[in-house]
Amino acid sequence: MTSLLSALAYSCPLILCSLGALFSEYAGCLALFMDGLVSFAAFLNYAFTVWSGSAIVGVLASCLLSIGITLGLSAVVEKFRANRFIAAIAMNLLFGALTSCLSWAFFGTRGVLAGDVYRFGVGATRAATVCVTAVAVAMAVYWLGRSRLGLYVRVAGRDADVLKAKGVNPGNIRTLSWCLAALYSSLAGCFLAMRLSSFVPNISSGRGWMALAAVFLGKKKPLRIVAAVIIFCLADIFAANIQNYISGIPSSFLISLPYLVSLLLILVR
Amino acid sequence: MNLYYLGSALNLSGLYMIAGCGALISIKSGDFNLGGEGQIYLGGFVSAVLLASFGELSSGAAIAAVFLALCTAFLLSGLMALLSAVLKILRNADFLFTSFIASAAIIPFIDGLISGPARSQTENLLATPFIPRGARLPSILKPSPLNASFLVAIALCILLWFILNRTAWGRQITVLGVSPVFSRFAGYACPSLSMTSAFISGGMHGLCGAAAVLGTYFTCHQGFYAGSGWNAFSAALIAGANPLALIPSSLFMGFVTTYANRYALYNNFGFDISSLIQAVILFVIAFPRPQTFRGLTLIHRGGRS
Repeated sequence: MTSLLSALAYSCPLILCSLGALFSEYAGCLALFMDGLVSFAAFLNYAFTVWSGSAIVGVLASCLLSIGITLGLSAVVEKFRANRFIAAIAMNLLFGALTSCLSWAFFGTRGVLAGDVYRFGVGATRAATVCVTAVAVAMAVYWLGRSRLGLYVRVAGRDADVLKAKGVNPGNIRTLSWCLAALYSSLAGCFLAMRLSSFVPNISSGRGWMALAAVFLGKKKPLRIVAAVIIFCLADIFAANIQNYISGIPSSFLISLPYLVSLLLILVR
Repeated sequence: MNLYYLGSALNLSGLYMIAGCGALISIKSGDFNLGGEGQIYLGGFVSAVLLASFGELSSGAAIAAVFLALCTAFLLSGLMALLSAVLKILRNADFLFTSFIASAAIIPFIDGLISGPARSQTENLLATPFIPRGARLPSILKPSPLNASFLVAIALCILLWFILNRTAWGRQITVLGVSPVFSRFAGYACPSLSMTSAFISGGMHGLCGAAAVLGTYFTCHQGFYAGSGWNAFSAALIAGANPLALIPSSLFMGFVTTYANRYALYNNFGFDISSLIQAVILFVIAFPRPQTFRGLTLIHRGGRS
């Protein structure tokens, strides 16, 4: 039971990222910036938690700032009719570079950040991660399937002209989908940092990209996506533990394994 | 202007031109190859290991060895990109993320090989053994690393312009990129076009990695590719899918990166500033060109649009 819970908690950040990617995929503007944003949000979570002394303030401030930046950039992109695809890649690089710069500027290092203030109990973090993710999944399923705005998001990707005819601005819906992607990936970043009780550079380790693969494998159905994510995470856990049984496998080879699994799943699906 | 930095900037620009040709082909065909960094790394690694395995070479043998290394780098990196095209055709998977995931998978794999079985036993570096002196491209602007690959890069841009604009294959690739539906109705062999463009795109990135090893580093050290793929991609986007415009756009990216790194080095700022500039440039590229620039483009095309 404990190992099941730990496996579930391990997959939660990727589930959150995948749901964030799902909103943007439905709206027809894939949030390619998520990988950078996960690391950025994890850093912000560390910084705000250390400065305020409260984990809740850390999570809220991290999410709000991430959403605020995404909202601002998305509004600019929409106003000047920029290419969202290229802008999202640029944002991914921007978040990565900003994380490193801010870490150096505020904490004097680009390396691992840890401290006495930033310490969390393993059990409490796991429980919080699983609960928040469960609520986030339920909200995503309900919102996309049952709410009016969810319907607009689904229509925005398929036929934006229908929205225009209805008097709804498709640009606003695309921006909304990016903000939701930012919210979900920020939460993922916060939980990743809290699980380790520290901020580690490149803490996302490709989760933003794996999330896109999960959306593809899950055929845009939230529950199928969760199933795809759990398969990814089992591969990741297997990669992390195989060294206990077979010695001499370089760790860098094992880092490749989740990516190889995702390619294999795409091939055999 | 410092001769070393001038040569370094030109050399880097040449590498961006070669990889940019690869990025540009993929953009032209409607697929975005985001796996450039992994393909550059693979090309560099393969050529370094192959050339180092030959030991010291006579001049004739060195030419053959260099040719073999370049072909192998092109082939393997091309096959890596081809995998994404196959997944797109068979499974309707997005080319952009499968190319990125393949790249993300190969990078740690090569890292592991460099720090393990392929690591040099004599040097205290996380790198493969140095390639033989006979196989190295000599500097044409000492003491900078500028070498003959820069001239080859310019020739490749011109050749690519010719292929894309003056051959049936190039026209078909362009039509496929603009309208896949139209190209299907026109009877083009779309899967074959996608696969060949992906293969050449990956191959050009592999050539860039091989050129970096042959002319600049003479070994494949961990992470030598960092930033090259994205900068080449940015240069291709700035060029607006015109191979001739890739020459000035690559020069721009090369000079910006080199002098940003120089600034960072002299001011103890860290190399993040280069990544920040890279991100800002890419963000600016996303915006449509102002009307005046569009007018100039039309004049340049002789009024055809």
